[in-house]
Amino acid sequence: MIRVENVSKVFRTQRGDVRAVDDVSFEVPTGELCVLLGPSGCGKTTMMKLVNRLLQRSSGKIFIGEHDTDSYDVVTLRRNIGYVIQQIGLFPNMTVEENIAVVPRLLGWSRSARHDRARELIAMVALDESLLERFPKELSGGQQQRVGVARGLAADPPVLLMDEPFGAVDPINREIIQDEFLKMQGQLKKTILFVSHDIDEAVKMGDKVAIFREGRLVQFDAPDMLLAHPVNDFVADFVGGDRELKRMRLVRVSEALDPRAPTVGADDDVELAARKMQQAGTEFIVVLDEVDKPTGTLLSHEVGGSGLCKNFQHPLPRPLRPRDDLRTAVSRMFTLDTDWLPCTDENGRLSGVVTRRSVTQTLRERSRPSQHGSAQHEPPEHGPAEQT
Amino acid sequence: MTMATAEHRIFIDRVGRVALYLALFALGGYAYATGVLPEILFHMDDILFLGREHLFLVAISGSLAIAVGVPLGVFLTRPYMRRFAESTIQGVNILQTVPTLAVLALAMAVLGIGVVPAIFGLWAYSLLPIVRNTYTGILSVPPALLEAARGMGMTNRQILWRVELPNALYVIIAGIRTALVINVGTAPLAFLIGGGGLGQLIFTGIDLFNTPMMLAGAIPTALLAVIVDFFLGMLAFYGVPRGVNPLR
Repeated sequence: MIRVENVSKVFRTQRGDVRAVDDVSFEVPTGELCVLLGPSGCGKTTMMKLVNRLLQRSSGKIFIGEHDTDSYDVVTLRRNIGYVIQQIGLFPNMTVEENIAVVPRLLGWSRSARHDRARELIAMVALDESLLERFPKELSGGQQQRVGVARGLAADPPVLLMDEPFGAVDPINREIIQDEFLKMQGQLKKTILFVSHDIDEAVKMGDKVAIFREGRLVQFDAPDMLLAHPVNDFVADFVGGDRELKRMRLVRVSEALDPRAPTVGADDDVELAARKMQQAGTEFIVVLDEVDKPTGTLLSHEVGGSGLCKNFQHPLPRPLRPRDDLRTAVSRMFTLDTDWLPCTDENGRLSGVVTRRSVTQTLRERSRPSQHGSAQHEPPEHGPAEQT
Repeated sequence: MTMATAEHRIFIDRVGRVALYLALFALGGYAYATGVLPEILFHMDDILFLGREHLFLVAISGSLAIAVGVPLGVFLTRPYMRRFAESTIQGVNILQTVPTLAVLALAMAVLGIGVVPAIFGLWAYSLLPIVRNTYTGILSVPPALLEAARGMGMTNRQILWRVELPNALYVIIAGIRTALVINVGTAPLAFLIGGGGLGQLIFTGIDLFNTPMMLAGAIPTALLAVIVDFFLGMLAFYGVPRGVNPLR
């Protein structure tokens, strides 16, 4: 847990005092990732550096676990906090292995323990073990970034500070590294402060997002709440006009299935199909074979007379997966010019149907603030951690 | 494409080397034919004796310059010295513009004649490239590395030894190389204040219009400079970690 209480940082400059961080309080529960987000110069990086005391705060307190960060010797404090910076900062004079083992070496681990740990970590960040003997300059940007992350994790610190850690790679590799990191975080459950200026990254990575403006904490919320209920125009502008689209990335298809969507057996009569559609009030029905695998679809205006469904059905649009996000679903709906899409599990059985209505309804329900009227306490089942 | 240019370069390299050997061989042949070579070799005993003296001057003044220059350069980069560092470097720069002979003359004025003032003069003159390169080498270590090092919990001393010095090493060695080559070339002047060395053959040769004698001092001096340069080049190539070595 990281708890920040009324922290301020004042820089004394020739043009007077600058409050880089202004009376900021928030708490990151153990195992969660909190993104510090804001335009450049908003104080987010300063805030982060106050935690490992690279900068000395002017007032307030910062706790890690139950301990005041001031109660530690500064060097000890830093060795127990993983640190990953934007410029990566791998030491060019050391091999990849030596780079990863910097903190373990500072902590006095034996040579063999350091070597084993380096091998373990290089595998964890999806790099080949042969890279351990290389020097940083012989690595690609993406590889360097991964090594930077591995180095931050080397001594298995409970808390990690990451200053735009994926900022130096191209967008495609960034997505990949972000995904890998989320997967790792799913297992490691570190408590992480993550500085970013990219709303998409924040929404994707964060369990919580703290938006800063001119040193002040403007909003501290789960990403979904932030997008659904920005507290003011600044936040609304910052998260962007397409915030509903961004929210769609946070929701899995499995959460937005339309329970009313009807199905019919392939050997049933089309009359039954027509009746079911009428009852459900839909324009379509999914035709299933005997093991619940969808074989096709029927449209309401086409079914007349009688016959077996399987003789009338159209081919089905390509099905979604339960773990796809809603943005994928909606995007495909636009591509195929349809109002609905089927969703199948890994065995090809139908798990349900996503409709435009179910998408909008799900988004609306998720954005309802909790009973206390405070957007800060979101029901846990909505946290993105559960979705990963 | 790069392959081709690399091969091209190697080819030129090889041609250049062969040409150099041929030129040396021709020069040797010419020297032998005109009888200069035997006359130079006539001074062999002196060359060996004075060469040893020369090496002694260079070794002592050079190692003292390294022993003082590197720590001084490091010292100037410490935060509490930042304010004075630039002016100190400027001061040493100005010292370097004083002609070599004047430095030795000044050393003699204070310390008298003999080996000690000679070593002092050579030491003072070798100091600047070492201090300056150490200073700029350490300052040019990227700030991101220092931030990473500090953020991971290195002490100032650990940052110096594990990050700053290794990353500045190539530049520092380049400074030492420059200093020592200048030192070897300057050392003949030590003879003028009674410091001995190969300068004795050179200056006596000039005074007596004895060209072979002069060459008996000049050629070994030049060879010595080339050899020192070569060895420090090797040191830079093999001694500097591969990750921060622009040559590898």
